[in-house]
Amino acid sequence: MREPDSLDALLREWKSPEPPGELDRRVTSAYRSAVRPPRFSLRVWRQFWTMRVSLPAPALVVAALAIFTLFFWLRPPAAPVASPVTSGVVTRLNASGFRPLPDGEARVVPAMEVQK
Amino acid sequence: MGTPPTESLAEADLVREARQGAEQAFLAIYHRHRSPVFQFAWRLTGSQAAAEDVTQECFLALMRGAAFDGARGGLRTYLFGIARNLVLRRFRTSGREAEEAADATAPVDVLGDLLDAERSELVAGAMAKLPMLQREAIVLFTFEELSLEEIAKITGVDAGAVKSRLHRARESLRTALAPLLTRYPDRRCL
Repeated sequence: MREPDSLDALLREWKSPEPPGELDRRVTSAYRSAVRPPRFSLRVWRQFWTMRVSLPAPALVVAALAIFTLFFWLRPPAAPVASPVTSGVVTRLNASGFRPLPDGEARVVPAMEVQK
Repeated sequence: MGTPPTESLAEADLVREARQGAEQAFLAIYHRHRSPVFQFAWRLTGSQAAAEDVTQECFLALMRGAAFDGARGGLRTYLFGIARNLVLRRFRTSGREAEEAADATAPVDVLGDLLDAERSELVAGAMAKLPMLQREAIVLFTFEELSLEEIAKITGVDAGAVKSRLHRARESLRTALAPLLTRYPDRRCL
């Protein structure tokens, strides 16, 4: 179908003009009116969310190790655990013979005196 | 003749950037394709003003319209499709018949016209008498050197229909331009 013949040669003598320079200005102006560029902040956010970073694998491993180490290094020390008291303290819960103080006066009695 | 796939994909990126407001991307697309689109529109309409309007609308439609898929074909083919629809719409609104043109195979008055017109104008006259669908097929095939498949994609018919339209167009043109073709048989270009 593509063999050139005399008709094709004749048809190609039909020359078309080039687009005028005025058309370029018209089209550019129409484009500016039709497609407004987004605001600066929006453009920055869009770039940020679509940004891609290419990193060599060794650098990625080193960075991951550094983050891991820093995490353990900066971690606060564990709170001390309270151990149960095993000294000779005796707690008496027997309340027999308890008498309220007559005058409501409190008096501190040493443990030795109580045992006596 | 089709656009290489990688170029189409690169152009798809340019289209996306241009739609987001990147003027440089738009100008890159525009300067690459403005001449073929303008000349295509000019050959279909025969009018400089109409071709300018169609070219402008075509690129704006690309910016506003449905997504161009670079994997499915070249941008040039896509733009020709838009331009073709715009031309057809203009013909519909101006009342010109797109499919049937009266007296399409009537010979041009070649001997008379040769005195004061160039062959280019005679060819233009013969082309203008073709039905619109045949004219677009021969313009895309002969001047834009697109394949049958690409023309089929642009015009929305199968390659067989394009081949048929091309055949009829060539027969009509051969008849209309017969005096020119036989007058200078020794010239290889004729």
